[in-house]
Amino acid sequence: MKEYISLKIPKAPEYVSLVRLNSSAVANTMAFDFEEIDDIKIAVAEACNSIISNGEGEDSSIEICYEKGLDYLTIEIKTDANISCKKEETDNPLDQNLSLLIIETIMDEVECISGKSNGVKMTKRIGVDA
Amino acid sequence: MREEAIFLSLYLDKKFDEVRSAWVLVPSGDIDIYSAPEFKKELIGLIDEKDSDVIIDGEKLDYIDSTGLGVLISGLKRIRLNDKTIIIENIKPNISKLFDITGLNKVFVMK
Repeated sequence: MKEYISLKIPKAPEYVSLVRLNSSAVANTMAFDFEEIDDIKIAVAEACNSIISNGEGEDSSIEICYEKGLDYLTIEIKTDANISCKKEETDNPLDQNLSLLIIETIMDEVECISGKSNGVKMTKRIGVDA
Repeated sequence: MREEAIFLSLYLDKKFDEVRSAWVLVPSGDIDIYSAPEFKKELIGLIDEKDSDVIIDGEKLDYIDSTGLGVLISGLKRIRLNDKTIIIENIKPNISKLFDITGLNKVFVMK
């Protein structure tokens, strides 16, 4: 049976730590290990960072929606602004989009969402190495 | 000389180590999108103040995100102009993992 949790924050840097805390708390209600919980916390925060750093859009909030399944956690981070989901092709670690790289490396599934809201949808499965 | 800078989620202890002839910056807490701008101000300030390496002692650093890593990168680019470098030491496994993921473990001097 799926469960849903939602959080809406102002699109401002001082609230990202709240999102990290909340993400840890949600993941901690599932059978994720310590490292997986940390991955989830980091990835969700990075998605928020991308939205806040982008600075676009009239919507002053970010919505974070958690879907708890039996063995997975899917999180959607959405706003009205466009966020870049395109990985820059570069060999220089100093020039890359760190947020997206981190998210794609530590989460099991990542996809961009666009339409009425834009954002990122990511999934972490219990016991699967990313 | 030892100074302290305090922000809501981050505490910065900084001192010049005469033996190693380098600034030693000891952040305590989180370097994230909120505290990163002030961390950048402090880091760049040190680099501009004295022509020496900067050591970031991560023993008390609990969390760093991409904006924090970006600050370190901008610091590295600036300090390299003086033929100096940034050394990262004593970082926790969860933070070391981020350096590995991003390839920055090959860019910074890691100890």
